[in-house]
Amino acid sequence: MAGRVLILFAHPAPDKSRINRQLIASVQGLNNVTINDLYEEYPTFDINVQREQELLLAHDIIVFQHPFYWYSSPAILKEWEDLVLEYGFAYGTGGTKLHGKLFLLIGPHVLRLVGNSGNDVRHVAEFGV
Amino acid sequence: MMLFLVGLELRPDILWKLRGPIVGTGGLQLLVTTIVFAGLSMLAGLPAGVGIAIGMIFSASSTAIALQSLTERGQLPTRGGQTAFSVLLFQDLSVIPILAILPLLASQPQATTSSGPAESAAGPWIRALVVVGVVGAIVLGGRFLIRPVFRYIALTRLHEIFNAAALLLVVGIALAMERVGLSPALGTFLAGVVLAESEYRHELESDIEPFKGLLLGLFFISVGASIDLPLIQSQPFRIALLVFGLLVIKFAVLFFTGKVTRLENSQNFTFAFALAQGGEFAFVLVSFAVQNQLFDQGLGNLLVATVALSMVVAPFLFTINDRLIQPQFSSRLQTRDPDEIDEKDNPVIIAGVGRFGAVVSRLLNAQRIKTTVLDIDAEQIDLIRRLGFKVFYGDATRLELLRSAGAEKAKLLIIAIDDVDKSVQLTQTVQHEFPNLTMLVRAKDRDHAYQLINLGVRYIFRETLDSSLDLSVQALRLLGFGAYRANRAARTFKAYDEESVRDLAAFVNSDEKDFLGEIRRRVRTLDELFEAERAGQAFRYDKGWDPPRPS
Repeated sequence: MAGRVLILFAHPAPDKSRINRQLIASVQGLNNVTINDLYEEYPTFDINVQREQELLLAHDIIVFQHPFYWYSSPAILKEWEDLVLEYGFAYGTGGTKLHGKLFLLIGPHVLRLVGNSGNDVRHVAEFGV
Repeated sequence: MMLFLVGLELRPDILWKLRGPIVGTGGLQLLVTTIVFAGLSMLAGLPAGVGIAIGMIFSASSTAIALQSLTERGQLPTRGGQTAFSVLLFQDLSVIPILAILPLLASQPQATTSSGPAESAAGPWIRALVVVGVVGAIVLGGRFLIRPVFRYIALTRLHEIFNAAALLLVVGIALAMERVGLSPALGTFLAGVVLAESEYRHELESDIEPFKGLLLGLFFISVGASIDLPLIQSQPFRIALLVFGLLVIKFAVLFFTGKVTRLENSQNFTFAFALAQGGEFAFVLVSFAVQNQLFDQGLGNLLVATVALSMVVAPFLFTINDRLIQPQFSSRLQTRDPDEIDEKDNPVIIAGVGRFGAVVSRLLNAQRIKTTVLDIDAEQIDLIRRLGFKVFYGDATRLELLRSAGAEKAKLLIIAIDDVDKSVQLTQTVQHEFPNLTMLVRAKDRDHAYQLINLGVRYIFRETLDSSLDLSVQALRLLGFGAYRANRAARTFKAYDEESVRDLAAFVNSDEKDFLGEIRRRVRTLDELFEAERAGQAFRYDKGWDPPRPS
């Protein structure tokens, strides 16, 4: 599989998160990586569904990068899911457009968990596929 | 010097854009005025050549007075003002051919080419050729000689030398013109035009700007000084009659010209009043005509006195227009009968469909919501109707109109009129007569908002708030803020500001000190709010986004 990567980055206050800034900076400018900063793109939550779907179709690996709040994603990602992963696209009749794509989830608290010798265990998340 | 500035205003591209009105309206005005005055002069027994000369002399209006007054009153951008500007430009330009024609008129039987300066013996045709030649030389020289010189001077980057060179040019041309027997004023005017084409125009203008008021003052003093008081004393009635005649005839011709170019009446009055006085070029032309022995000094003095007095009266004409004529139009507008309203069941009534209300009605219409739209500006209504929308003419503050617009059944009344007093008045009427009608009111500014709040209006929208916040958000983003953070900052600010307006409204009627104190306290609190965010401290709304800190 070709390795075109789309990073769906969702952080409401990136200026408060050094690790997220570092993570983004480390992949910025790479040829096969597209960074889609959702809060930057849609500060008023008016998500452009067509643009988002086209981005999904144009990439093979979709990475969700966001902090974990209450065992879940920041608000805009839920909005994104509701609007972009619509019927006939991601589910239901003919909703097979995302078949064969690899989805990854990455959150800084997960990395914290690993890197911080386990003293902050209130945030738990899966790291993986 | 005044004429130099007038010349500087004459940029070729402005000229080109306005070529239609300039040549059409200006030419018509000049032609008709000349013909009328020439006819009258001939009726009075003067020879045709003199008559035509007088006509041309009187046809000019004062650029200095008219432009200055129109600018002061903010009327220059209106249609009437623009037309006046075009006509003034044409008059300014026409001076050059007129100066060439005047010596030709002198060859009419009345004038003789006997004694006088050497070149006039050579005949009027030569004279005319000399004039054209000198003018041509200045224009060509200005293009091909003066511009490189200025470029060279600009390279030295010495501001003073640049200034001095410009003044030298003006004085030089003026002297040259005088030498060949032309008016130095015309020379400076030409110098102005020449420099208007140069790339240093703006620099020159800003250099000379401080002198403009001074020069204008000098100009008016010289107009005053040119009035020959003994002459006026000796024949006051004759001169009064001449001045009156000049003003009335010019006014009539201008008004006619305005009609031909289809100015509306109110604009046409502004236009005609602005240009009814005689102009400074008349002085140049008179002295030139006397030099050419077109007529004698006595008639010349009479003409100068007439024109000068008409210029003295000019400000009063403007006042008459402002005080007596224009109010007629606004009151006449209001006496236009309100339209019959045939839509009485719409859920929304919009009062005022200017730049604010138009957006509201468009958005609502796009959502298929039926609106009854009222406005009081006949022009605006005609414009919107032409775009295919339905608007009713009428004063929304009048109870019958509200009733016939269906105010009893409607759900919402959107008050988008820009007249603060009327807006408040309408609000009160509605509260009294239609207590169940929900009002959404546009507020011009904070003061208007305070009034509405104190009346108990719930939905108030300050018209400039959102666009200035939008601008601030963009500014923050360009400075490197994240889009979401910038937007949240603006929303926080807005919420806080709305709250503070509501709080401050309570203090408006109390004594001033309380009010100012409250404002200061408010600004401080806002500062603290933002300071807390800058310092990374817990900020009211995004504590949850901070990393957890076990206490």
